[in-house]
Amino acid sequence: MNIKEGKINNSQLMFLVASFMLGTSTFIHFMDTIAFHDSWLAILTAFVICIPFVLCYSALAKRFQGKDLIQINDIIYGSFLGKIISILYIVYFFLLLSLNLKGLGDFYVGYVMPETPKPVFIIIFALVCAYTVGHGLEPMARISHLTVTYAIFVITGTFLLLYSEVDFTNFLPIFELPIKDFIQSVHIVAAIPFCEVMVFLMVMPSLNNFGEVNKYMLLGFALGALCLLVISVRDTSVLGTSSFISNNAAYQTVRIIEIGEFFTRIEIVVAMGITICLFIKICVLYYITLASIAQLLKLKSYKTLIIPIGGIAIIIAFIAYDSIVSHNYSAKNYHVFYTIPYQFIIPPVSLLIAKLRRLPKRKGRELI
Amino acid sequence: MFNYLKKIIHYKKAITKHTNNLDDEKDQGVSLTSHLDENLNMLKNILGNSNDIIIKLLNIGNNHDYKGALVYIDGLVDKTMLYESIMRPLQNEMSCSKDCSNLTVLDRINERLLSSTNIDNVSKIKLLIDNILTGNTVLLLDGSNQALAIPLQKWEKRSIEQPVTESVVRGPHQGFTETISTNITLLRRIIKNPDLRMESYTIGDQTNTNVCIVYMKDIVNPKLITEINTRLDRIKTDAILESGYIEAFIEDAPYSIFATVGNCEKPDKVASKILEGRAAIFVDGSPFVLTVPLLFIENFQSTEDYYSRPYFSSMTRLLRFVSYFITILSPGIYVALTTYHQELIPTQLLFTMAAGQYGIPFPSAIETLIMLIIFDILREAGIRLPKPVGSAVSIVGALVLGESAVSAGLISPFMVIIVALTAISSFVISSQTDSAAILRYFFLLLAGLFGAFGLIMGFLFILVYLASLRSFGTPYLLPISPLSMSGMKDTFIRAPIWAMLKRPKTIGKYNLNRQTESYMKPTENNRNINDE
Repeated sequence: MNIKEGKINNSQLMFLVASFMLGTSTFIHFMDTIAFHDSWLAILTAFVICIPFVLCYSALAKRFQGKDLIQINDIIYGSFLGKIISILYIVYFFLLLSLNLKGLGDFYVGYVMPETPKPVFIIIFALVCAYTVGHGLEPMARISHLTVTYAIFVITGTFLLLYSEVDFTNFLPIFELPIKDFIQSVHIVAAIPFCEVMVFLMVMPSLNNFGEVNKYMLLGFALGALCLLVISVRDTSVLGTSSFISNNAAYQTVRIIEIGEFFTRIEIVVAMGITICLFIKICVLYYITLASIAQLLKLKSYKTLIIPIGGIAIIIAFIAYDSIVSHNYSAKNYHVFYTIPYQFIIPPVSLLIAKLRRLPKRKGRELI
Repeated sequence: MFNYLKKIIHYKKAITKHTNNLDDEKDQGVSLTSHLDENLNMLKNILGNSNDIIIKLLNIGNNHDYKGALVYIDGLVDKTMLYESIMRPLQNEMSCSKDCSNLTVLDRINERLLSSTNIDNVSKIKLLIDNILTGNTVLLLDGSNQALAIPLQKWEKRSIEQPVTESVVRGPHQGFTETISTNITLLRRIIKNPDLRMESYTIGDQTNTNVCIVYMKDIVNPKLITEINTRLDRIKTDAILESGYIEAFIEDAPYSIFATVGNCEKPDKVASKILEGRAAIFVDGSPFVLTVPLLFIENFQSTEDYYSRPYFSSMTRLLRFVSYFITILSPGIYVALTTYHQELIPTQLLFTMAAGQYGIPFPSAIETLIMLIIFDILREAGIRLPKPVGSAVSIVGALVLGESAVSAGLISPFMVIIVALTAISSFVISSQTDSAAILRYFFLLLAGLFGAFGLIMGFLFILVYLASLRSFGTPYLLPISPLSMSGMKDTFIRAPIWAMLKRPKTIGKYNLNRQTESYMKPTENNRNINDE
């Protein structure tokens, strides 16, 4: 499989983005412990703040049509500095991949099957991801709309079933939060679920049509953000203050559903939704890591990298952090700052330099 | 290792080259001579002493001037016709003056005497043999280096009957037979259009089986036909006994458990597929006609969907999807619930199930596995048994294995329900019974090992696998993935016929319009047609 073999279309990109963001929904709950019942406000604010950045990513992809992030770095920063930036990016992608794999294991051990050891989940999940990535970008893009449809179905379904439990007074009082905490929670939402879509700079080169990439990127982003917002509103309105005690509010919320003594304990439906959205997310991250390494090393195909990179990612997923608490602590205090250059500094600067230097230059039809 | 492989490949290439050369020489062939005895000797040498090959010497003309011979295979030829339209005219009615040369005699026979159509002049011995073997009667004449091949085929064949695999309540009841000409006629009678094109092939070094590609010229994607041609040309085998052989040689994913080449037994179904832009492959000797490309969704469609009202067909179609999921997933889900996720079962039900499972010696995964294997054995035993014995099998299966196993405390009654449900549902999707049987065990294994997580992973794996499959360039999961909104009219529901204005987007893209909007509400005048 060539690195850029397999084309996706705009709507597939949109669903991939939305699915990618939904995959994160289970990992950002620690944000609630800062923002409490104002987390929906944090999500809304972060959404507005992130729009220009998302547009910046898609503008970059549109400007350098068919060039991925590694090539763009080479063009803008020259081959030496560009390579260094690319390596930093690869480390970032790889870290995201391992941490998400770890998050999946944590979720299953914590909520679904507590007696099974974590490596079982991580290894099997990684194997299926490796199989998918081996087929290139197309299969995961083709099933992404199914995962988004399922997620939307579950979110609206549980909201309706929980109608009797919904209490909107749980949101009161609004804006009780100190401004410092509010900014921190906005930053967490912006950095972890939202601006992680920056990794799509490695996916967008495979688009078959760059005309409307801005629109579809933004649509996907809005769809994902809307789902996260609805999830947050549902959890807070149903659980109220107890929402912040549990580590996975979505799961806790759905457990409450009890209709006619038969329709109970349907949280496995939520577990399925989390798993398949996370599947898309991890597959995308896996693909991106492989594609960027292959591009950096100028390999023709990334197939030889699938097993070694997957293996290392699995090992890091085993050993990273002792517990969920330390993971959350690190995500809250270090990870969000670690991502700042990758998400908020380098892409806008790249776009600015490209505009100033009138890049990319054209040689005939080829971009150089 | 690699060197070894290289050697093998080289060797194979050399062999194919060699055989190709041989074929070429054969094609050149030996020509007929102008002596009857020599020609007959040559034929005897090639055909041997088989007693069904008849060589009948006769004297032609009312004066018995010319010596000739008829060669045919007993049983492939219509004897009355042979006598009425060849032997009698040749021997009695032929009048020819002496000055005719032998060559013109053959032409005169052809023009004046023989009433049969499609008569060929043959001058090569190989063609002659081919003609004899396909059932033509060959007329040789002394002094002529040509021969006449007269088609008078007639053999015992099955009449047109209702197909066993796809019986319908509403719609045409006739199915294909084993004879390719009959099958093509059945199709011609449905599509009366000059654009219905056919391309013939002979495949199989030993069997020389007729294979025919049928398509609509202005609807089909021309690249599809070239692709089929190249794939059929690649087949180098000695025997084609059924269309399944062709399927195995031309399918995209030979290791897949899902078929990527469709087959069906009903002319109306093949006609509808051809009219959507697919191509059909008829194989002589098989009532099953192949259609390409195949989409996964076609397994859930039935011809009867289109002949009955849309609401009911939509409902049955959804039911088919549900039964497919039941048949592949229900044993797995049962095992996952009882082994790993008892908390998800409603309390009342859990008590009942626990009471049923009390005293059962096996864990539920093993229990399910045993019952599924027993079901598969019963099914396999039931298919090929003569009918009177079949009822014995069902009694043994239902009473002894079901009832007694439960009362003996070997399996739980709930298990019997699950297996029965699985079994019944598997017959709803008859064309996917084979893949479903394998998937069932696959999901059972995953559920037994990893519970719900295993099921989800297995499901995602199968989904990705299906999404990566292609059948003759068409994504297998179309129109679900990649999503095609126009295709959705005929996927989970079946829209009214007049609303399906377009052909499937990928398959019929060369001629997308099926019809213009032609459904009309009754006009004002017509509405009150019975009012005075």
